Amino acid sequence: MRKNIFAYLLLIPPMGFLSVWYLVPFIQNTILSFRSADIAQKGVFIGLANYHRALIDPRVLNSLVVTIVYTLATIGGLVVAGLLIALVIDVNFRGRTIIRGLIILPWMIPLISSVLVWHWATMRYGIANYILIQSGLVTEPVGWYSIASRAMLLVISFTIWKFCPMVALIILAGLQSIPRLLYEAAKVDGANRLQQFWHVTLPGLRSVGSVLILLLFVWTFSRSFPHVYLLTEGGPVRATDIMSINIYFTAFRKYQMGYAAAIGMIVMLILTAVSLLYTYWQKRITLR
Amino acid sequence: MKTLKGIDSLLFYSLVILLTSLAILPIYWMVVTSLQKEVTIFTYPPKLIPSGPNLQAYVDILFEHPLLQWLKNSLIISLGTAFFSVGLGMFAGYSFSRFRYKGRNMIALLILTTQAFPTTVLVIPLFILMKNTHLINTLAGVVIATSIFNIGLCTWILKGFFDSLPIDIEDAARIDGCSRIGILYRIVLPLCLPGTITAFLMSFLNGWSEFLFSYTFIQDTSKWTATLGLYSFIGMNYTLWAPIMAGAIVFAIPCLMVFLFAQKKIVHGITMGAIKG
Repeated sequence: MRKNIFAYLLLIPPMGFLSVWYLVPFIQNTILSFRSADIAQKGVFIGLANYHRALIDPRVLNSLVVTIVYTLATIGGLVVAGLLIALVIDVNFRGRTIIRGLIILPWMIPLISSVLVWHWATMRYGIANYILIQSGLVTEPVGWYSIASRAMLLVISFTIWKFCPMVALIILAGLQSIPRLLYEAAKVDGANRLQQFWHVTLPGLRSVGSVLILLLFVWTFSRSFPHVYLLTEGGPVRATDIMSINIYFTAFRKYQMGYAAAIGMIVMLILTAVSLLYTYWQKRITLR
Repeated sequence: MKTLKGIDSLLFYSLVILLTSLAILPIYWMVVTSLQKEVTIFTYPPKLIPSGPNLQAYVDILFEHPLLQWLKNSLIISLGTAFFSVGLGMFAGYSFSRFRYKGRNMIALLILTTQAFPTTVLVIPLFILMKNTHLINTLAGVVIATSIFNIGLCTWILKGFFDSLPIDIEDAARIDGCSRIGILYRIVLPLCLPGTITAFLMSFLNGWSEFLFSYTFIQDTSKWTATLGLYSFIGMNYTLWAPIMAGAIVFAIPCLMVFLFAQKKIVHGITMGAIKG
């Protein structure tokens, strides 16, 4: 099969690269998680000791809770905001292109730039507190970085603000793939706009939505390190210490590489389990 | 496309204004703050009406601080990531697009996992690996690390574009004696230039915003990317916000340019992945 030999040859550069820099490190991480390694030496084999320690470590458990809360709240906000924006942009109104361009801005500007302006805005005597006080929502300046619940609110809001354009665009594409005919049929049957939304739009978005939610979960759970770290570095006394940050600190501040590797493996296991369960559940639903 | 009338219209436009304001208010603040006259004073309530364009802050950040050097480093990493990821991704994309063979789905799945893989799991062994290969504290190391997570993206974007190319042209070229690899370089890629550019720009943007690996691997401040450099301002009790905002904006300009230039393509690239099923 000369043809297929070429196909395999084509794969050598990318797979070679990924083998060395992706597969091998992953295997190394697995091995590392079973050892008492620190930054200087590879340590000794200690079996599941790291895993056991992680499961009873209050800091890890706190991280887990924080990450779950952060992930679920962020996904919820992203989906709601994204859906809202998508529904608005779907309407053919004057200035639509400009508005769409403006709404996408938060997603387009680099992370650090967004973080810097948010830091500026959420200073104790910054614009955010000013607006809140002027509008009567609070009576005194909020310490966004010194109070646990406020810090959580901050990082969740930031992530939603940063990524709802992306979510909106994906949902918009899903919206535009719903056949207009269905809306016409619903209107003929006497459905008002709310009923149309409930019975045509939402079911029409199911396939896009289901993939989207899984992706958002995996991404938010495992790739939020910069978004949270750059704002709060893990929050006042670990209030926003998501798993990624926990792993990072354990490895590069406390130098406990083996332990950090184990926590990382636990994150992987959680993600895999959730993905499999979710996919299975979605299949069950669509087969019914 | 729906159209609106009357009070619906009023409510709708109010919603539009509300959403747009929430989205761009911080960016407006960023621009206005960078144009402030007094670089060292912050007032409460913060002044938000620009008192005339004043570029002092920009001069400050560009020449009193090593921002240009940081930007250079960021550029190197972004370009490196883009070239690397597209270069490797195009091989995988073409292989998946034009051929059927054993193990194809498994390898495709493997590449797909890079898109969902938790980066903090990989950063520890990569750190060790970089140290052992003397790539720690080099821009090349960061390029490699970032490319790992971009190859999948490029593979999928390019595969999509390759799929949409009729195979007749390639068959004709084959009959005319063109080598298989020649087909890729001389026919497919030129025809799929928009796709290649899309993949290139997306990888470029990912490299531009990269933080975790540059933060972990780079120790010399001379090798700092703009992200690291700008981040260092947060640590100190730095109240010179105008230059900081100016720096943030300067760093954002390439992203905005890329976005303006390739908005439709990037949007298409993202949504194509989501609706493929």
